[in-house]
Amino acid sequence: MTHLRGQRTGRLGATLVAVVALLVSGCSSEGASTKDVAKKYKDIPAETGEPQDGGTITVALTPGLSPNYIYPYPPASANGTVIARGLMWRALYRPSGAGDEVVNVDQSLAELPEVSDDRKTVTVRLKDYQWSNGRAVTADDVVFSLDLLKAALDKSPGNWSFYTPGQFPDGVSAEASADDTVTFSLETAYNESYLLSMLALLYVMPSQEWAIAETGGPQLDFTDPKNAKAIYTYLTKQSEDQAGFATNPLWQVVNGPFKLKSFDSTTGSFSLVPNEEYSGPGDQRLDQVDFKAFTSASAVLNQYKAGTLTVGTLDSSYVTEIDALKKDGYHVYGAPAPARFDALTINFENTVDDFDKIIAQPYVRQALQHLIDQEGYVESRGIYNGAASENYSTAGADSPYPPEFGDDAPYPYDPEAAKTLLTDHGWKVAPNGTTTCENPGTAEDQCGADIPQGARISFTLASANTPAYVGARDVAFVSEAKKLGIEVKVVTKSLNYMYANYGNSFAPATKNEWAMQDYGPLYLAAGYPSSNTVFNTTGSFNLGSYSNEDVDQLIDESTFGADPAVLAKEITTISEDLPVLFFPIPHTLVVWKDTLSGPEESFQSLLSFLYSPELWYLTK
Amino acid sequence: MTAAPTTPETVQLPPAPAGFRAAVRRMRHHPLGLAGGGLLLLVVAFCYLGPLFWKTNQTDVNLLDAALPPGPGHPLGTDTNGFDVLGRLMEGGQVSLQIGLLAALFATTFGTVYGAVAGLAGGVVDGFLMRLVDVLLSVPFLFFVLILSARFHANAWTLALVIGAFSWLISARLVRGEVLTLRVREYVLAARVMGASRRRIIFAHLIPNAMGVIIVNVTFQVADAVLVVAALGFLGFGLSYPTTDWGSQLASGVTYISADYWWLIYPVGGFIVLTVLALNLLADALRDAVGRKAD
Repeated sequence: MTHLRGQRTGRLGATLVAVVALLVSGCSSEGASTKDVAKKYKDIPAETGEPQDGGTITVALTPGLSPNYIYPYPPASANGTVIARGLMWRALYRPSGAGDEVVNVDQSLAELPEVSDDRKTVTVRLKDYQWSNGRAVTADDVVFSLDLLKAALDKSPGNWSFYTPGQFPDGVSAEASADDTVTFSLETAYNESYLLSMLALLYVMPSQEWAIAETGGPQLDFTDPKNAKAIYTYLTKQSEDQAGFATNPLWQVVNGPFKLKSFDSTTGSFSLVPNEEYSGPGDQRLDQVDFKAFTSASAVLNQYKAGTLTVGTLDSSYVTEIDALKKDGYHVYGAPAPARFDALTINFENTVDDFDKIIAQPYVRQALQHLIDQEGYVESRGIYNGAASENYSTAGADSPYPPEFGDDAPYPYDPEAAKTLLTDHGWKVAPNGTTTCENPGTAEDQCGADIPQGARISFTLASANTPAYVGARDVAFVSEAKKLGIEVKVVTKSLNYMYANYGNSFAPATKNEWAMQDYGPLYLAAGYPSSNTVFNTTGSFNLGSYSNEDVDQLIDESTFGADPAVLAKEITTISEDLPVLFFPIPHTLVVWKDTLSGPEESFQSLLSFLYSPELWYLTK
Repeated sequence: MTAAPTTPETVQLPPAPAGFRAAVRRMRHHPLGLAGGGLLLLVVAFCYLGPLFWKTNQTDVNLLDAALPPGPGHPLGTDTNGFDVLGRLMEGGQVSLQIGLLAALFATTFGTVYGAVAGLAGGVVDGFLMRLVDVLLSVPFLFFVLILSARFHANAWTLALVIGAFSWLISARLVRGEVLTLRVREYVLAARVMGASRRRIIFAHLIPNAMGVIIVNVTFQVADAVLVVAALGFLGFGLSYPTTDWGSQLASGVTYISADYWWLIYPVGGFIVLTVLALNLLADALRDAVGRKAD
């Protein structure tokens, strides 16, 4: 039995290691108030210091999002995260990092579009930009990019997550009316802001260098859809070769401020060097920008502490580390990201225990929203620790299109109101027991259509295993529901699993596995946070099959109508109808060394994960 | 000349309880074993009797009392859901011990029968059964569990089954080795000659005589299972609210290590360490006691 002795020795060793590990981790803490936490980071430090040329900075990538693709439009099958999105190939318009505008015109390849009176002709004049090989960025490149996007969608609608069948780029054609002018002809007039948000997703690619279907092959006429498809197939195939990312000549032709120097396919980390031909704003003072991939937020924090990271974001769970980071020479700025909202996504097609019938009743959703103590969640040291803002709408914080109810929550935390809603509709509420439908039927005081007598409210909530506040807020909700006799079974899943399996639009077979899910944040277009694709009946990202004719109509108006003010009405209606249950929005923390400087907006835009290293410099 | 038939002399075998008593006597003189046993009793009492004296609400989340450091009313503080940590340790301990015990019983029962059958059968059957064990031993446990955790949701029973399903292999090997030495003993041969079925030989002769090894193994299995439950909880395949186990508690605590919520780590870490240590000391002493008998 010598192996037993060996096992014992191993166990005792492991035990001792565990004890030592516990002892060295140190212990000190206070029950500090969370009320003033946000004061520590709400002001963005001013640009200071004398710039110096050169130097290398290290940027932390969002944990878990290691890039594995280089072509700007990865096919759905690649499940790709694109390297340095927007830094090597700019979109026609660069999204704004501020919440009150759709695009950042200064950093865009074109001037703001001119729209005809009937809004069906849109003329875009390009600025003076060059490709890295010295060739000018022309209207042909924009036409090429639109054709390639259409080719991608022709292969599969899933190849672009912003696509709604029948909408942009369907019914949109582009023509180079001059070298520097492209004219878009639209079969249907779009709202200008919405169209701008779509054009901000149109990455401009080199029409001459990339219009080939084989290496060394002839340049093809990309306006022929057949050729466009062949080009798309070739480029996506090339993009599968991760070892060739930094060496393939295709990927060296860029119009953005940086070129790829190296890529580590094992980790997803990569390095960029300046594109000398870039003529956009920014002095390009840095010699190199290293982007480092991480698998966990704690690893990011450790690297900040070790001083090896220059800039990046940090999970709000680490708000308690702000003082220490500042002591270590870091600036910390935090705020809710523009057009972000956090919510429990409801699956309206889950039929387990008649959930679809029950959740279809607006009063049930309202009762459930009444159980979410947003103020308590924000204050709780176990959830947000003060680093979050209450939110009850899809527009997120400080939106230019706030809901009509303003800051007054339509369904504030009020368990008594929740109970009243249920009892007034024929439910027998059994606190900490099982609440059941006692009065089935469709009258005002009855449970609702197709809900049988004795039905109980019981469902499964899929909760992402990271970040920590997701699990904590879900448990708090479940606990409140239990007090009202509602059974919520929490299942913890990895984000990857949820992304791949929990969405009726792409994974209908698993619709009964989840009744609600919490995968963290959802970002709409900053500056024009339309819910198109998310909450319209045919939306490609309508995960829970929500359907409401009024909402469809409003989304239609905000997408195609001339009046952007209708967006506020859309946001109000959706937020009151509760296709999701709203949680507070955690603040995103931006951390950078005090030896790095640049325009304040360039750090603020990191809230939306928009990197602008061309504007940054190290100080003397 | 033929010898008159004589009645064979009766062999007086020592009664089994004498061996048991001897083992107990040896245990009494094994201070580390006694310490382990005492410690284990204390842990069990803490988990199962503790809630009778320290009553806490372990189902209703209390947002504003979340993550309080140790103080009046909460001697070990509260966790991030506002649950009293002392009460949570008792609740989590019950589940961890139950899973550990269940997994160990499952693994030992199945592994014992499997090993005994293989050892007694010998030949091709033995070869096939043990190669199967070798194959299963080569399956990486964590890899398997991570795949399971992506698709399925854990509860106490499934956790015990999954752990047991991987732990019986060691029991099977141990018992098979023991049976290989026992099957040639006189009393087994005698039973065979008297026409005892294989089943009877296994359950009436082999397993009872391998009980020393089995008991020692059960103790180690429980210790292992408690650690595995903790590891699985740590990796995210633990139990979900409202059920909890020590591993899940530790995982939750470590998430907040940078926030210095030390009371979410030390106590539960300490209990895992103490419990495993107690079980190991006890198993070690049992092995010594039973081993001397075998000598």
